Amino acid sequence: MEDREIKSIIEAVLFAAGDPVSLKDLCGVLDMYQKDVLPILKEMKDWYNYERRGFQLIEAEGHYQFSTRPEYYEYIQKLHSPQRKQGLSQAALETLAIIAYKQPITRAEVETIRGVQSDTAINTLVEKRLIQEVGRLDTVGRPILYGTTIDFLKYFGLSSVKELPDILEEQISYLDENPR
Amino acid sequence: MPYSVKLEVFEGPFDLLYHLIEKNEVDIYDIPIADITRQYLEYLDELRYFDIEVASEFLVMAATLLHIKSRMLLPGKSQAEQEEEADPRQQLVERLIEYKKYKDITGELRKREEVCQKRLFREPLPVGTYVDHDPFILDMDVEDLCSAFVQAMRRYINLYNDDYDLKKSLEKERVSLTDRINYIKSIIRRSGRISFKGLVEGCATRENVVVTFLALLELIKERRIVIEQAYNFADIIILKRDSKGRK
Repeated sequence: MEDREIKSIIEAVLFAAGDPVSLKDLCGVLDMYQKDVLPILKEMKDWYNYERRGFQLIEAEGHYQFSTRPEYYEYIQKLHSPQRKQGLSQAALETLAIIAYKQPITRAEVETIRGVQSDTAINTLVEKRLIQEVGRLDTVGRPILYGTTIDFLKYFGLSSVKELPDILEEQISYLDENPR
Repeated sequence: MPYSVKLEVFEGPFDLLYHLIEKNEVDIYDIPIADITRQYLEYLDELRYFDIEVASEFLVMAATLLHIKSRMLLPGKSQAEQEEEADPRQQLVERLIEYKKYKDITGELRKREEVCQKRLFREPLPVGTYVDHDPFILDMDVEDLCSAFVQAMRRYINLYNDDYDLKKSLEKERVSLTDRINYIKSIIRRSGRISFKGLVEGCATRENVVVTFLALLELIKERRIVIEQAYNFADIIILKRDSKGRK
């Protein structure tokens, strides 16, 4: 099969699916190996970005999906006024940041870092499917360990947790070096 | 006429403390504890003045600050003793810095959130059921499983009555719940699915059927399997639950 045809098949499948499609499923459809499909997906992704197409190919933990490009949101709004989802509360965002960087982590550990009760924030995040139970800690009470989900990656436009922005300690070291 | 005042909202005691340190432009490793404690308590007073309930965590921090302050005020220790003893502020500072790391990153995450919310996704096209799934998909609950159990028991009792005398003399087969769970798990692992009928028909005794049923309930509770049934009284299919929590 020509690359062009493969790309068209991927486009058709992803367009029809709507939901994220796993690399495994794509390979099954194409009857190809992952190592051959991956570079093609990468090429497609780069091409859409380079051309600044109206849609883009997004990836989260080996799942692929089309979305519109954020830049064109205002144009879509002119016709549709889609409901703007409300962002996360500061408390939820803080909690999520700690879980994302320290996963797997228990609620108690999150609370130690934040210095406040975090059960409400954690429940909200579970409800929004941004975090999930990933196991239990082998200690008294077997507390739940939390980790982030594929939806979390999508929510922040990351393809894997490795892409999380580096934690900046500049500000702290700045204070450290320049005591006033 | 009541008037409203905009008070800064803090996510917790660390948030407030950090705000004070920044506002005062002091070195985090050398916090002027008396000054910061005073400002911290002033803020709590302000909250109280406006009748805002102060979360207990803020009060715990206030107590910690006062404790540190008093320890730093205590005179009379020899130089050597003072050197041995860690700075009473140290633990607090470490926690403060740890908290600040994550608070800072929220700004970056917020930016990403805003951009990503401007991406829109399409709904799946109604082209038919995903081939991955079988045509007889219907979510079930425990009640459906129970009625199937009753059915299976009836079937079993009929069988039992036919050669009642013969079975009566047989030694009972003892099957533990763990064994049964492991057995079902191994089948599911190997073939991904099994029918409830198939499972129960393989049982030699009533006890075995009960244990099988309990094993299924346990596996559902542990979210290892899901069950499906095409229509009422149809055979129940037991399926492996994937990591995403769906079939």
